[in-house]
Amino acid sequence: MDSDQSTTTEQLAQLRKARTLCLQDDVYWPRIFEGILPILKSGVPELRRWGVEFIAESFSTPSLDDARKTHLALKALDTLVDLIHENEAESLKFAVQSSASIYPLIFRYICANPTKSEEWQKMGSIKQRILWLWDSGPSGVKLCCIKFVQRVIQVQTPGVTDPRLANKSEISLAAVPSNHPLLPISALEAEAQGLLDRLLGVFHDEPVDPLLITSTLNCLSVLIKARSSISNKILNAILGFNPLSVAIKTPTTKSKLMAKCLEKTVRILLLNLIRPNPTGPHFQKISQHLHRLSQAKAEIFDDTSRKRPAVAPPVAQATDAAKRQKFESNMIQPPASLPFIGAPTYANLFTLTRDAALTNFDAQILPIDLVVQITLATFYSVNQQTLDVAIQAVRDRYNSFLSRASTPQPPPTGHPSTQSPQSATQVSPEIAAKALTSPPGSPPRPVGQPAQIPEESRGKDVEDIEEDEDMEDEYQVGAYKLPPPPPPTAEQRIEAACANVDRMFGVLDGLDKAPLVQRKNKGGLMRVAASTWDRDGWITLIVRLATRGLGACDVEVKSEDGRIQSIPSPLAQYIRERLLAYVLADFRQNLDSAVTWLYEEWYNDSVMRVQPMGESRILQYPIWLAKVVDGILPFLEAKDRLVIRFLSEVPELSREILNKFKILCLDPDRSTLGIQILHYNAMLRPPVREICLDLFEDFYHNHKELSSISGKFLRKWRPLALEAPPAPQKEEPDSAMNGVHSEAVETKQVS
Amino acid sequence: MVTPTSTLPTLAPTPPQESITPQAENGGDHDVDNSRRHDRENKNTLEPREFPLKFCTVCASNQNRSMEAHLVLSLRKYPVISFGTGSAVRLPGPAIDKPNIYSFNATTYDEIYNELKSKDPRLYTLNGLLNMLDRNRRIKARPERWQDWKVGQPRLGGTGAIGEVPSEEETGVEGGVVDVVITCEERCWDAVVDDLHNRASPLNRPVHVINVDIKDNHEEAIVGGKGILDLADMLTAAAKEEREKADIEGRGWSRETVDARVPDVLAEWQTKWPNLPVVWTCGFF
Repeated sequence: MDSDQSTTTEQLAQLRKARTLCLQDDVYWPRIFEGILPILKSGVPELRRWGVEFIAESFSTPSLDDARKTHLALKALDTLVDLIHENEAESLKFAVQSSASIYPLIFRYICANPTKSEEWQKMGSIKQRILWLWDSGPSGVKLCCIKFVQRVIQVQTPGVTDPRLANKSEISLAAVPSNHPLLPISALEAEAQGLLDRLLGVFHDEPVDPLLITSTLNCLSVLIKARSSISNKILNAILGFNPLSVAIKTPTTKSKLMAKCLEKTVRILLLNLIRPNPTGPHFQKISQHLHRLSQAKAEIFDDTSRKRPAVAPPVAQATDAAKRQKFESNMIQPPASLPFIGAPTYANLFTLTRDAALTNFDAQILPIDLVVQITLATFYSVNQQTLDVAIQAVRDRYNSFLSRASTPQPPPTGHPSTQSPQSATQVSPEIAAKALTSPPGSPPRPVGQPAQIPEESRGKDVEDIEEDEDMEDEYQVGAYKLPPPPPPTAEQRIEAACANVDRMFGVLDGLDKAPLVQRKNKGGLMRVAASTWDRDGWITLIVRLATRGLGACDVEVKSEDGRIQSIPSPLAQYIRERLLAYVLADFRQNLDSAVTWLYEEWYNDSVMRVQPMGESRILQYPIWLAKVVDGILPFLEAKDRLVIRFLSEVPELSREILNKFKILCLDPDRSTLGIQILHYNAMLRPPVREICLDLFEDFYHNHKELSSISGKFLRKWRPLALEAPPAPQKEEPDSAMNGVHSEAVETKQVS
Repeated sequence: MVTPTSTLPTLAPTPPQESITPQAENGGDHDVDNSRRHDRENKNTLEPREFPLKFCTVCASNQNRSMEAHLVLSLRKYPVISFGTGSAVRLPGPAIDKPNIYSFNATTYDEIYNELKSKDPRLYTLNGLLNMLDRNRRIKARPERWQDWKVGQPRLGGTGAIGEVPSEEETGVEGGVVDVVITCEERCWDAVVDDLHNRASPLNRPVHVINVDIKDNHEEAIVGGKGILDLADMLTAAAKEEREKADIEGRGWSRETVDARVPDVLAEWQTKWPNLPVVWTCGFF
């Protein structure tokens, strides 16, 4: 026996050496492979185990090409038929793995060699055995069976029909000649369909087996990508599977963990499917499903994570409520007629609690800032009713004290005094009245901490009261004032202001980017601008800040020719630059903002013109309109008809601006858009009609490619120009700005 | 990227050590720091049947977390390889926006070590990078990228680590395949599973892909390494148990595999290590 053992060990060592040789140089692989096949028939389980693993490795290694693997597969078929009846899960795993690797190879071989029925029968018997194992084998083997079935389905369904796209190494039904004696196409395809149904059946199996489900999910992507005929069916099965159901049914730690794993596996698979093709037919469906999944997941896991705190609050509330009740009962307890307890001192006057600990507490030991904090906090949270009751109680006490004081009496002796006899001296009514009423209008003492501030006077002699009063006053006006911070420098101010502007634009970036047409028009004359904190509101705010808001901060400078000019402040210019950048960053989306802005500029210009310094002010509207136009002009495309609307909506157009669009008309690609812009303005904007017609006339005479279309417009609006010789371009002053939409501006300003 | 925090215990350059037999150490509370030694000379104690599972550790840059786990697993003699899923190896630089970037597979740990040492020895000693790189260059030659890994391609000729003693013995991963992939960050798990989909599983070989979420700093990497070692121990123990149990129970199968046990082992492990959230799937190479 020992010698057997030692020979087995020796043999294993030799086999390992042989394998190392294969790994070092694949030239040796086929020869060693064939040499090892007989070992698999040996009765020694260790050797068989090693051998079957080596076979699986040989068929999966990338070191060998398909031709050599096919050659080896044919030699190993007999051995595999034996191995597939192994009784050991680990060896079986490798046997099934090998079968999955060789199935396509054997299939292709049979395609090309229709007479080799024996080999195909052997492969068939292996397949039958594996399908049986798929039902009744151990889980680890089932795992490999799933992969084998996936291979069979992949082989036995029609692949890519377009020969240009077909991958030469890919094996599918398309490779089978139509009248193959061994491979009836329709029967094979039907078998594949049946196997696919069974494979997808795992999603409905109970109980849920995460091992089989994840492994099925992880081998489906190939089928979906490479087999369009069955991809819909598979996808629907995946979308119909709820990976979280396992956690809902049995919420244990393990099932929750498994639900998470299943969900993530589904998610990665679906993302992998849509990533290369975001415009594909399934994109919408899949992304919706992913969205639903994440919601469901959040619900389950949030619910469970909330569960623990959800149990806790009732307890906390109960104790909380108990505390509060106790507290409130303490507070409300003093009835309005509660008499003085102890000596008539300020402390006792305001002490509304009978709690000995609280009463004896000397609030003077607390630092004043802490007292202030507590007092303020109490005032914020105190119940108005409680406060009223407490004030009433103190007031009643005081009144009763005053009436008693006017008819001097010995201090009440019925109550045990906590004060020394000396301090029990009475307070004179005048002083008390003064202390109680001053400062005028100040809120009554905190009720929550009834003894705090008044306690300052506790334990003091009556002689001290005057002094106390001063002290109190001092506390009330505040004994300490923070020195004002050094005034910020001009640069710091501008820096801070710019940072604020940046933040406002940051808000804009965060707001939803609804397309122009979808933005709701919350119109109406009565609406107030910037009343809602949406995109329009912020734009209005920023725009008005740049124009009217900072208009008062204009800076006066001497221009070169000695005239005094007022130019906008650097901050206003900064905002304008940011606005320009904002508009240009996505001008198709933001043209409405540009119109709003330019309106405000124009309006501000007209308002400032009538101001005292208006004459010397540089008009901002033409500058920024030109900048916007210059910014968008290079990027305009023929389809950007939006810009027609933009130009028709801005309040003024000058010849200079319209001349910029000449280049658009001369660009063959965008000429239609340019012509449309000019045509629209000529038709519907009388003040600039002449400018547009001048341009048309220029086209008619000087640019042949545009002459026919320009002629059409000229015939309608300026027939004379058709006869006239090419006239030199008229020089008109640029400042001839045409206020057209003043009405529109006015309505806009109402807002 | 690695968040620099502290220094690591240094590794003695391959001193000959007495072998640590895994059975003796299994189940105990392993003190990794005490056993941080290189004992490659003792490879001949490797008995493949004792290590039914081969492991692969994966993080973003194949520097900190995956290498820490690689070290502790290899010290226990587990067959192990490691990868990074990032587009490049990123290490902290002199400022947050100036990381040191190296390409995977091309630059060796030794080269990175020497370069950083020449750049600013003080900074890179203080943030623990030099220590880490020194450890790494004694484990294997260079950071490897997961996506470039040709699964199944033989990995012979040693690890290329500094001070490695050439050996003819099998490492367990010479076949270029593994049974369990352990990623150290959910992003990496996603990348690995996604990459397996893209590879279309030509090998037909099942593989368990497990994520153990570890924060990218030296301390967390050490804790995570211990967790991963524990997971490897538990999976291996389950695998061995399955082998023996089937015999005793007299089921139709003389042996089971560990695969069906993985969910249970993970759930048990998760209760032991609640701060290292785990995700798992079973895929194919």
